[in-house]
Amino acid sequence: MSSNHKKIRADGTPKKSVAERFKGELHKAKKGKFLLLLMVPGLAYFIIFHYVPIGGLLIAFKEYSSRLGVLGSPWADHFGFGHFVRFLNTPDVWKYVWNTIALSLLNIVWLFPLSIILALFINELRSVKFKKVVQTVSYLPHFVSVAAVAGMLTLFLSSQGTSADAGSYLNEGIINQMLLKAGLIKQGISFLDKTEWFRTIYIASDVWQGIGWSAIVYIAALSGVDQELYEAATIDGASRIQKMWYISVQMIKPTIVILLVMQVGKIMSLGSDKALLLQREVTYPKSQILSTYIYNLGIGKGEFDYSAAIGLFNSGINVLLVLIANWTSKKLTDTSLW
Amino acid sequence: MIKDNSISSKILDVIIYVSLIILMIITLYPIIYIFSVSVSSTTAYESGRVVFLPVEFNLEAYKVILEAGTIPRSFINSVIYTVVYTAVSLLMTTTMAYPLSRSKDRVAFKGFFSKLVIFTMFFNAGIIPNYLVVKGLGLMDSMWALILPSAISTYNLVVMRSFFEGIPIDLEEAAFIDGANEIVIFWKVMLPLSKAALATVGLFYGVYMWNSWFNAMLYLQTADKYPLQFIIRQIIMQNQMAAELAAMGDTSMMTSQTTNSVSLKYATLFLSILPMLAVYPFIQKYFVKGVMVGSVKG
Repeated sequence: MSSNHKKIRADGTPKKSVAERFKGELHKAKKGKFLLLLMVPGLAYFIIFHYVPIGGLLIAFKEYSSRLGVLGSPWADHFGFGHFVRFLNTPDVWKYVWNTIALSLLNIVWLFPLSIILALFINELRSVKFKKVVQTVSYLPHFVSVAAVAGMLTLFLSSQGTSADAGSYLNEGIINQMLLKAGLIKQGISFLDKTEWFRTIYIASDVWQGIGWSAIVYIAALSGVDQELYEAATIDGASRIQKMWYISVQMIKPTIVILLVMQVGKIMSLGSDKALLLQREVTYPKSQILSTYIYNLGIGKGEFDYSAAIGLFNSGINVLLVLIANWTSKKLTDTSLW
Repeated sequence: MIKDNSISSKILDVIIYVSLIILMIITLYPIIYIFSVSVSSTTAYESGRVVFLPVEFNLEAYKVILEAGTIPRSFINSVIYTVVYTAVSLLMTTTMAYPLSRSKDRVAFKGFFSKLVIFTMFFNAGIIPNYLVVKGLGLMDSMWALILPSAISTYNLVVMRSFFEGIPIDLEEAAFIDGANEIVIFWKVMLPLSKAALATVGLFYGVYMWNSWFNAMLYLQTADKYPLQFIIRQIIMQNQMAAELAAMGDTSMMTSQTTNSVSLKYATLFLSILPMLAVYPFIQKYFVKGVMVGSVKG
């Protein structure tokens, strides 16, 4: 029976035990010190700024007091899960979860098809020069910072309620100026203070900033399509629209599927950057998403333990979603992220 | 491509050209408009005459900005942060990516280290524990609080690693046979061959730092240290405050405040975008390359 102790690998060699493998690695380390030394700063970074914070997530299970520190603070009630219990029992929280998902989904619904259409249109251009100009211009907003985009939106959409007959547009942004002049509104509207406008503004600026950049991957995929396919289709009498649909779209389908699946995997990980800049307290019912809630509560109000618990909950779901997305992508297209 | 002269093809061309031109207008209009307001007179803005091009051209706003000092200082801060950050990040990313790209026979614990790194792509501790670590290290209100916590982007590390992996092994073997050791190979063979990748990743880092504001809000307390993008946020807040005052009916304070500042705000906004505007046509091709590497090899 002793011969069965070691597991046999596919190539017939016995699988090494952990201790043996560790010894082997140590041997390598002795031989090649330089490559290991090179990694020291990088490893220090990952440990200090990724793994120490992961350890610091312990705070989510504690009644944190800054005097006692994370380790010294007493455990939260419910066997340490008190913050999670409180979180799951707060009705507003589910609204914020939904706000997060809604913004992510709206982003996918708009940006995704629009960037594919842009790529298809650019692919149809015959003038190389015009193609280049369109591409270069469409990349521009990607290089504009989120703070500047939010600044633009704030200034363009601002209003202090000037009425149409006041004759002064000093306190009105360009959008309100135009609407007032066209007689479409009687009084300026401060759009960013209107809950019902938040999502539209958020998504429209997402599209403005991202459409050209998101199209890159499809443009590259389209440039790899065999030109003979198009020629053969032309001989068979296919129209250009038919060729766009039956050749171009079909050929980039795998790319579309992978990116779509990955996007869906990220629906809960929407960052706080832009929402924080665009949200006002009055628009919280739509503009408060999980990441801004964590920020406003944790950094704003100093509730470190509770907001870290929400963060952990969020990160956990994100990992789960990415794993599912990756599994789906593997099944559908045989491509996985790792 | 064989030319297609049918009517439907012509209609399609019209649709494509018209929509692409509309897209370009929508993209460029806000940027041009910001510049126009920044160099137009307040009276022109007040009467609603600034719609696209400058009216009653003057550089008053820029003069005020230069004299006041806050914005030039934050501009210099941004430049310093960007340069230092790019240098530090590039150094740390390269030195980490290179060993991870070599054969596992030469790098001890390579598999373990790779997993350690990749895991951080999927799991993030979140803002609170990160904040406490920075605070615990005593980095608050220091430039290093902006630089060190995001010194390596795992995505950029993967891009860099893929690039090193793509360098033909023959070059390395030839150098080995010539008696070069690992240090010489890294410094004299691999790095010179990686200029394009270093440029790409360096630009990723540079643009990221130039455009970031969130960490400045978290970690900086002294106004003298604020980067430019954070100043933009202050303007947003100021605008919001003015609106809130107006909503409360207190217009006495805010009119005097906003009267002079319309073109000032737009000038500040324009200054924050200008450097990117100036360099992005030249650096975008590196970005496109980086995006492709990342999307294939993520």
